[in-house]
Amino acid sequence: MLSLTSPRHTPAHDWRAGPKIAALALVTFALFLPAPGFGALSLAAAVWGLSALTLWRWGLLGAWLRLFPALWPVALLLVVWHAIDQSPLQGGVILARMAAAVGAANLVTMTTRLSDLQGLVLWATRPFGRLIPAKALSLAIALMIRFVPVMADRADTLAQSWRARSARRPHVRLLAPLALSALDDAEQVALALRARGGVQ
Amino acid sequence: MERSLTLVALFAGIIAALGLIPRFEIAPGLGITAQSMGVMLCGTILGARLGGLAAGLFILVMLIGLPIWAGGAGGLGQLATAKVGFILGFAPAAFVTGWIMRKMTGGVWLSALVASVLGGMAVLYPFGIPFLTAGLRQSLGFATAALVIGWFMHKMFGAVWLSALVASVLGGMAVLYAFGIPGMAWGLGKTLGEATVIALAFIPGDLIKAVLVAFITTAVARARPGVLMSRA
Repeated sequence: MLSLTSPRHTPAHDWRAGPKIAALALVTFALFLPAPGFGALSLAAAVWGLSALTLWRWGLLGAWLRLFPALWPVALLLVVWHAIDQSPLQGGVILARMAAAVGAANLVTMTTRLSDLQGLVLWATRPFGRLIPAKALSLAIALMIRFVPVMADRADTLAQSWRARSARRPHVRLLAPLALSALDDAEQVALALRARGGVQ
Repeated sequence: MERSLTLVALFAGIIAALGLIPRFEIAPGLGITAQSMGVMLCGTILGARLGGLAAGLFILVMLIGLPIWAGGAGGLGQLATAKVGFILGFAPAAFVTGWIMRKMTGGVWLSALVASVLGGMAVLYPFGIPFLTAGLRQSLGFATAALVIGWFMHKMFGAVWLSALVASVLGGMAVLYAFGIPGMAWGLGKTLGEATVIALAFIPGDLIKAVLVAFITTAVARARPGVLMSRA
């Protein structure tokens, strides 16, 4: 499965993940400081514009812009609400803030490797070593990423055998057998892990 | 340990798969938003602790940048959207679902009645007066519907079914909304009452998901009794 990290190398790929996340937190916090009005609107626009400019220089603007359409249901709701409410400025500020915050966060996600972020998570959970064993956590992350395509394959196989027998479209009756086969798969993986020495 | 670990990873994967690949229609128009169904399943099958961990693992992996939130979204940016409450609520919702699943051994008819009505009403959350009457009537209606369906199904399928249904409605809906509605209020710049009205739109779909979760949990409990960790 693809992660959102850009395969094209940018200078930001080499920066450390921790400071990047801290900077993102600061920017997002600052976005929500000014009261709703033209000041807040221009701050959000500036943050969004700066992110766009940076990505344009790194040649990633297109890929970054393609992440925004996922927000359309929220945008539609806001537009309709504030059109009825006749408060376009307020709606504009909410929308601009969201776009700026999401854009800045996507900028960080796109320029930070999954392994770096995973390392950051492991570093952050180290103080809680007793509660969250780091090795088990990284194994769980890897296993989960592996299970998703496997399950997609299972769902496809089941849907195909359904189509081979029925004229109707595959539907909810497949969920229980899908869950069962996934559970069996997980049991086998657990056995295999134990056979290879187990966790810890 | 190995078994718990793989099951947690598997159920985190199930939540992801339910958001990523709408292979089949759950109900007309309901396919992409099946993710909260995965959260309910975590609770009813894995129980409170492992179920909560599985939902938490899913959120963690989503936040570090895999596009596994419904519709292919992911990364830290999701925390700045109106979804933030649902993101924070996934793990608690799975935990509470699992906890109720364990507490409700057997066919506790009266407690299920009280629980369903409370669950349907807890969804209301602190409310603006203008919305109170309409919202109250609507959620009482939904709770009654869930209850009637649950009672028939209980007669047909037995105890696991009813427990899973009640656990999903209370844990997967009431708890998740308690997080999700303030998140929407914040993300959309609305009051709690206004956000609650928007959230009312989710209730019918979520009730269908709760019924499906009860159905799947029963099937799993029958075919692989040892896997039902919530009752182990």
